[in-house]
Amino acid sequence: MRLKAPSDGCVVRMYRHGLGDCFLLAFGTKNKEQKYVLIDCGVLLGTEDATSVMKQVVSDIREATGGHLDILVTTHEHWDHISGFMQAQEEFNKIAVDQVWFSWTEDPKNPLARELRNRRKLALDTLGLALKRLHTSQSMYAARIQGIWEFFGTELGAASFRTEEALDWIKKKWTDHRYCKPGDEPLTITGLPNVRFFVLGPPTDRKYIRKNSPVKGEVYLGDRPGSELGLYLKVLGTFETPERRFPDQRDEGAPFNPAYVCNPNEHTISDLYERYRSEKWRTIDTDWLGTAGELALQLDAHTNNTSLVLAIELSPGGHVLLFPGDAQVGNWLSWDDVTWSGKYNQVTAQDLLSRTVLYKVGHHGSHNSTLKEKGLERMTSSELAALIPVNRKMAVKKKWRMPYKPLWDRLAELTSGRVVLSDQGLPSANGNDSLKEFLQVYTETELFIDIKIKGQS
Amino acid sequence: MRKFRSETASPYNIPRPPFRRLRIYSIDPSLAHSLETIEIREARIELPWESSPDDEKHDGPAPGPRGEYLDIIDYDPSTDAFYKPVDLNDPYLLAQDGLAPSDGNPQFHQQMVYAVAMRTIRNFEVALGRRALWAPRRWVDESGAYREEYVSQLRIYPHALREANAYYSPEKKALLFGYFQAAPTDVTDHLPGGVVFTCLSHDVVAHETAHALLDGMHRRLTEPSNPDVLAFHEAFADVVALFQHFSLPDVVRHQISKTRGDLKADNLLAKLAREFGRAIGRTDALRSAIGKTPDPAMIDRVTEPHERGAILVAAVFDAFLAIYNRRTADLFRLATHGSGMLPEGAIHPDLVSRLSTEAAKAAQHVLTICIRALDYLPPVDVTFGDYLRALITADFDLVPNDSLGYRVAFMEAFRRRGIYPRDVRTLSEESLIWEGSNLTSNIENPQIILGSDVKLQMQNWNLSGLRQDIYHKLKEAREEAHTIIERTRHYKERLIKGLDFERKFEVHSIRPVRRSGPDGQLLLDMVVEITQRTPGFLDLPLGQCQKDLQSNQGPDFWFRGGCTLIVDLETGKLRYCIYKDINSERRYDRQRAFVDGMSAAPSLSETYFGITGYRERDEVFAFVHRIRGEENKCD
Repeated sequence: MRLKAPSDGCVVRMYRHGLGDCFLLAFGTKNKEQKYVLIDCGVLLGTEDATSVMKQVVSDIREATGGHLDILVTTHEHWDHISGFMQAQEEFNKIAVDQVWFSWTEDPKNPLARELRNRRKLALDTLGLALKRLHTSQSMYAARIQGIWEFFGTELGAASFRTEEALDWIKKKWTDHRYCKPGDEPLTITGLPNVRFFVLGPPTDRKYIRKNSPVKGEVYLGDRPGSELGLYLKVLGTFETPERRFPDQRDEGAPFNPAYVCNPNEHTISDLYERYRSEKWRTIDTDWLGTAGELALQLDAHTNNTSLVLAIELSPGGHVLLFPGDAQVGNWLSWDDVTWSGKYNQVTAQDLLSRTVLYKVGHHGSHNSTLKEKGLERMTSSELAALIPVNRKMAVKKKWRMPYKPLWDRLAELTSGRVVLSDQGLPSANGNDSLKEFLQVYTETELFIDIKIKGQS
Repeated sequence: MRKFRSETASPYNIPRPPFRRLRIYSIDPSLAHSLETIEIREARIELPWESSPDDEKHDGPAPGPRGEYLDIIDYDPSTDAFYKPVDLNDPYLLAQDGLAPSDGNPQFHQQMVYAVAMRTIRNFEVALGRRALWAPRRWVDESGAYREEYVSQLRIYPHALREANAYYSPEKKALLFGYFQAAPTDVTDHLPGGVVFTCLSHDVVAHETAHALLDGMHRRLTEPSNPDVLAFHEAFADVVALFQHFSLPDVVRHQISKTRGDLKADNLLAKLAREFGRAIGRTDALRSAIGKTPDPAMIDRVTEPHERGAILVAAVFDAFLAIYNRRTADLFRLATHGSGMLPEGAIHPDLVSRLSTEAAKAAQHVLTICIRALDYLPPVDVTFGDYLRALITADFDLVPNDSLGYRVAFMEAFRRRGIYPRDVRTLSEESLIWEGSNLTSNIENPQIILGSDVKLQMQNWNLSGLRQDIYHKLKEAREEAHTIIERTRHYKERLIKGLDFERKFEVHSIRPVRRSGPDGQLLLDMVVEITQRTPGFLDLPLGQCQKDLQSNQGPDFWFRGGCTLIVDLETGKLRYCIYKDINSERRYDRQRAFVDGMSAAPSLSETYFGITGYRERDEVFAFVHRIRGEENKCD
């Protein structure tokens, strides 16, 4: 069945496929045509029957749009936003896409983007190596780190990262690409002149992508080749090769003159080895890899911060839909610096936030992806509603705090109960009269939830 | 094993020296670049002269160094290399107080770690009047039974990690130190690109050793049941390191002469406190706590263990300053002829000497009070307020007449930082001292509760004697005590609070503690910790937990309660009963809220790793050290 939005209005369809983002937006035009935008399509690695679920979702997309998408938006390179392009390729083959929007960090011609991607690759490789070794120690910590690793859609030991593969597939299949930068002239779709897409992020200033206040002595994304990450990788790498360092061989990773290193053949040191090896519970062979956890987190934050953030204005000066991907602190904080030129020079992030009537909550409702003071608290519209694409069972299974309860509570307050979770629907609707009005624009099926947003003429 | 004492010795035996001197870096070498600090870069410290761990007749630690308390194995897993162990008995080394301090010689690193750790242990032992024991190794074997094994030596790995981190591992009973390349931006402090070794920082080594010593006394303090628990561990370790640093005489002397005796916040010693931990890239929590005007509201806002701990450290530091100022007031009056204004320029070296002595004394006293207070804590769920009460009570037991105003200094300092015990109406000495001193009921004869020769065992646990024997005897004493308490339960219920004797309980620990009698004589008390636990669930109130035990899933957390009894060994009188009620709904709800993270504002790491998983997460201290709460916070 075709998805139809009222003219001047739109319908936002949130798919209920699991822990992941997949949003289909339909805009109605004056001449009864429909314009369709798909923002992300993916589900977390390890979701049960992921492939068949995604096929189902994409089939529905095809049906709803008549096999034609005006715009496809991929916010960032995480599996739970992009897996559908690997799992449901057959179905996507039957859908035509006019243009694909990426964040500027995907632009092969942008030097900063290239640098960021290279560094990320380095970090990913390092993390992979570290995880492989950690697994031999069977630490529970390793399992948790792996959960973060899985955002890149890869099993340990796989040759490439499937998120990368997915992006490549998208780029090859639909060749009209646009790399969006904040501050660019707001985008529109032909035939839909009043709807404007403002790009708020990701920031082009690298300090926002990394973090706000670097902590001294941190191990990560060192700027220079001799930096900690490089060294770490080198050391990990040399571990993989069978030839070991001998006392007389120079090793850049070694902190001391080789003369101080015990020669394994010297018999006088044999009791030292014995003592170390005999008490297995006290050995430290893999403890040094514990920093992998930190690396994983930083990698995750970094990738999230490169999310493409769209504020969709339904009409000039009118309602706004906010889709921030999984943007985190750094990304949000940079929005205040974004300015537009020409006739849009009055528009600011604060202004857009104050007109937001639909907020797609970032990172499945985790704590770090909704900025409080300069973010949530600026969403002052009395019609605000929030969508949280989350699967609590999955989050609990992974022991992740999603959605973060105080955030959820605050959202409920600000929206007067209009918080929709993809797994539960509208929990506050039970016996709640104040939601009567909202329920009129709310449709729920097993596969998706639709929110209708009327025009403001 | 090198035997350098000739068997045909002189006619009379030269007694073994009580101390061995070793050279260390007193200031982190990567920090000490300015000419200003060059004179105090190195120090020589004294540590007990050990016998060989393998054979008492032989001298000194084995190569490693490996002694009775410590076993240093210099294995570097990232390069899969063992570095050659140092033999501290080499006559060349004995003649020079050990190796000369050097970044590039791993043997010096081994020496440094050994020296600072041994000194820390010694300070502990002297403060408590008994030998230090490490936490025993506990595990569950294949049949599901709990096993416990004595751990003789703390393992130390000076080059274990490749990161700006160092931690104590409760699982491995080991200290792991990291090394890393200084980030290129840190030009002011570290040589850019140079390697920084955390094992060369006196403060870091002392800090980590203190964690291990604390774990040896209070095992349950690694289980966070409220936001203070892990913060306390960090704060206590910081206090030990800080005040031990003040006991390096040249450092103190140098500082006092530079600042003309004014030890207020912005001078090197406090700067040391603030820079403390910078070597390992920790957040500047201490800097924000010490040196600024105390903010009593901060304690309600801050939950990250280091930040929270910094408040406690700052309070202790304030108390120390007050004590130092009081002790030196007359010296200043003398030196300034009452005017309060010292003459321009450098102060008289005699004055420097006297002030340094006072500073060192004050530091030593404060450290001793802080260590002794550990015996006066409840066995579980410790809070900062509990620690304040423990400090006051412990000091009262040793120095009944507070003529120097030490306790007032502590109370005042804690008050200004907003640290209050729950359920105490006023911050006065009488209300802070633990209850029990006015209990009229007697446990008539300690032998009734606690076994036949427990008094002898308490007396035997002093500064000599074999640690392994002490451990085993105490284990027996605990088991015996358990049997006796079980048999005479109804009798105890009137005296021993906090426990529900319908359920299983554990005699967690028994130890001796010293105090001053009314005639100034040194008396011996006995500390008995009794604990029990009940399963806790995030969505069930306390009353239902026992009934609805979902045995297949396991509880969300363990709710623990119990009491610390302090008993006069002579009369058998129960002097204090410091308890945490196992049946307290309010306390249960507080822990439940904490575990559920309502009160914590998580960083990204806590989103993924979560404090709730503390039971499963290995290496709680490594993790605490790695959470850098600043960067990913949203509010």
